[in-house]
Amino acid sequence: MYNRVPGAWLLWLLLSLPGLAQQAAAPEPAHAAPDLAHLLPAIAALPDSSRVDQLLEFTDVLVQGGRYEETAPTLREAAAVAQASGRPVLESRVELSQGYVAAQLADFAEALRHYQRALDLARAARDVPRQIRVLTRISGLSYQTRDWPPAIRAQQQALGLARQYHLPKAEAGVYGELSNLAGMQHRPAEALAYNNQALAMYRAQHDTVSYYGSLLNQGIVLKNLGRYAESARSYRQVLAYARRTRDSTFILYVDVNLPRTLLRLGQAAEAEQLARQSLALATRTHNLELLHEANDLLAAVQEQQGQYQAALGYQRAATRLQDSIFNQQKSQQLLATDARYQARARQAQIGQLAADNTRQQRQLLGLLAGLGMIVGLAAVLWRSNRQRLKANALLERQKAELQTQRDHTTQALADLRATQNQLIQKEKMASLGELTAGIAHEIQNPLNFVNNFADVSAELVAELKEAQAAGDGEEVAALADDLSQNLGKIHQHGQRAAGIVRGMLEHSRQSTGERQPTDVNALCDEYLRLAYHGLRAKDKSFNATLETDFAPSLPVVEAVAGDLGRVLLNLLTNAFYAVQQRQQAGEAGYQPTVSMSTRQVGGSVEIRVADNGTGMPAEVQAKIFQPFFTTKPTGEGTGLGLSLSYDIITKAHGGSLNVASQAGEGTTFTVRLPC
Amino acid sequence: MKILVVDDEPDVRVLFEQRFRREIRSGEFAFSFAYSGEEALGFLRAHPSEVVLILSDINMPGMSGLELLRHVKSDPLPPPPPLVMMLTAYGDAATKQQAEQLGADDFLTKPVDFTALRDKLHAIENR
Repeated sequence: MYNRVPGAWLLWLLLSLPGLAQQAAAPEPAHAAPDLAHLLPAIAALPDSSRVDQLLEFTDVLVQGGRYEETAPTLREAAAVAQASGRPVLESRVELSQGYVAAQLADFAEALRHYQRALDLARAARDVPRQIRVLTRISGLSYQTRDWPPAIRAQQQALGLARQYHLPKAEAGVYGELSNLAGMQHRPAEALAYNNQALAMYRAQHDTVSYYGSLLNQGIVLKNLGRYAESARSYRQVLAYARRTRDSTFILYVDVNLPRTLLRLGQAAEAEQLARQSLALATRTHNLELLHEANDLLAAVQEQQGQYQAALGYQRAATRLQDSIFNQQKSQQLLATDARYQARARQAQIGQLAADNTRQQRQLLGLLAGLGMIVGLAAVLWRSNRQRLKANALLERQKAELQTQRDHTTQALADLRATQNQLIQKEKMASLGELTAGIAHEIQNPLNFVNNFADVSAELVAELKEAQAAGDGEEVAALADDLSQNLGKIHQHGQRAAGIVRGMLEHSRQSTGERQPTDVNALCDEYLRLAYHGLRAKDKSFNATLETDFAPSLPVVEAVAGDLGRVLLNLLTNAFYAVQQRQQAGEAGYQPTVSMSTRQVGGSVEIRVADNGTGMPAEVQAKIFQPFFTTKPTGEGTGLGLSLSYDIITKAHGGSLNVASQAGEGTTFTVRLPC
Repeated sequence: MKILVVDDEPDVRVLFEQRFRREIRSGEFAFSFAYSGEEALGFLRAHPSEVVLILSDINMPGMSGLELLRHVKSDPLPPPPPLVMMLTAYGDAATKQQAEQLGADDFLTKPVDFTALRDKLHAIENR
């Protein structure tokens, strides 16, 4: 029994040094950390900025060793030096480090507080690149918290700064980050668009490494979008570059990613070859994750080739590796977070063993045994009391944390509601913008008539005076009739223009949600003209055949005309966009056609908006009613149009909105409203 | 001189009749009106060799003014071939170029300057 004690001690030693656990996983040399007590006198004579440099470097060494909790005194010292220096840029640097350590310890509220102060200080120092760096860190927190909106807000802020101060490198970086964030939220189309912006900027800046990094990311995003051929092309470009420059990291990334894409393309042989390369590399470097991925890949390759026996073998190996990775991760995690706690538990065990030993000796030496027991009991009592105090403190801390989290959640909900309202208003204004050009054109016609009839009436009045002077009563009467007719025309066209303006005001007004009897045919006709002229005004070369088939004597529908009009405008704008896209593809003999029809079907009125545009594949159709989904390039669509339309038709009108589409052939949207 | 005005706005008729009342009264100009491209083609076929000038809007429902222009310039109509003057609210270079390629003889933008139009019509008559 006594012999087991040294073994337990060794285990305790191992566990009490988190650095060792990491060394076992990554065979890097241990960072020889200097002692703070020795460091302080050595740097005492240096200028403030160098002292902060040294202290933060020391912090970095501890952080790299996983010794986060030990950074506190160093960071406190650095904060004191920075504050005494009165230089916000130094303080900002320290706050950034403090934030990073807090984030590593999973105290996100604390991390955010530090980052926010770092941001304020960087702003005070007018150090724009530093502000962008801090914003990137804030955004990085989201990868841990899985809460994305703050990350996007931070990146948008960084984007604004990069643009305002012409920092193209930083701007490209922001696009890369936005792409990653979109990817994490399963929005590959958006991820691709951002990544393309990053690519274009890196290319313009001749930043080769970043360019190929983005290109690799493009391969991943394209694969997620199901565009496998393009994905493979991106990967191969990266691979060619990596081979040229012998960049082993890039080669590894491509080796891991390309085979999946190749498998989708049915190029199993090449996928297998690459997977075997990865397997060899993984075996050589004892990289468990890579081994798992390679085995998993080979299983997929074999399965596709019908080699089920071999596939099963690889699959088993992959599953085993998965378990070991999980266990390794799990134990590393446990070690990192609970090292101290476990160390105390081991200590207690040792205390127990020591007590057992004492009991044995008591049989020989009663007095010593009694003494030993009292000592042991005192130790146990003292420890249990300490643990109780600790447990209380922990409980208090958890309670406070819960309260903070609840406050955060309430705030987040309020923010979300406000943002939602803003977005709805923004979408309305965006569609109003689309209307404006159409409205201008629609108003121009009646106004021309008003002006023309007014002009010609002035001439008639002059003639009437002449006829009167000449005593030609018949001519006077004829001219008076013409004048009266013209006044009627002026009034009529004035009313027509006023009606259009009224419609525009109705569109932009906050909807009262009150349903009124509405003539669906008239509304359809009005919005078809507005949408077409709106697009024509933006792109004068655009022309489309408009077909209408409005059922006569359609029953009146109870509808909120402004809201229903917004839906129609949205469907029509999309239809025109789709035919325009197809036309720009330069297909021979293509005649862009948008048709709109109405009819009564049972107890409902049906409105169909059909186009012979680009159409949509099934996976896009499945998402079009989701908020923020858009296939338009960034900045062209809010991604809210169809989602709001869907709500307006189904929730506010009790109707239905459906889509039918064939990629490359066209799309039909069908609205049904109860009448 | 017989002029065919093609526009989907019916009030164009009243306007032209008043603007050119002196010329109409003196028998100098005679205006006919069609409210669509299709109607204009029908009129031309029913009244062979009468129309000297067609004044057509471009944006009309159904057959557009440009299609009408194409028909007039490519279909065998009884001689003499009428002149075609296009009228549009979209005075952009692309539309103008398209009209010229199809053989339009002139191109005017809305709102119409009637004084200028009158001069053009007199110039055609006095050729």
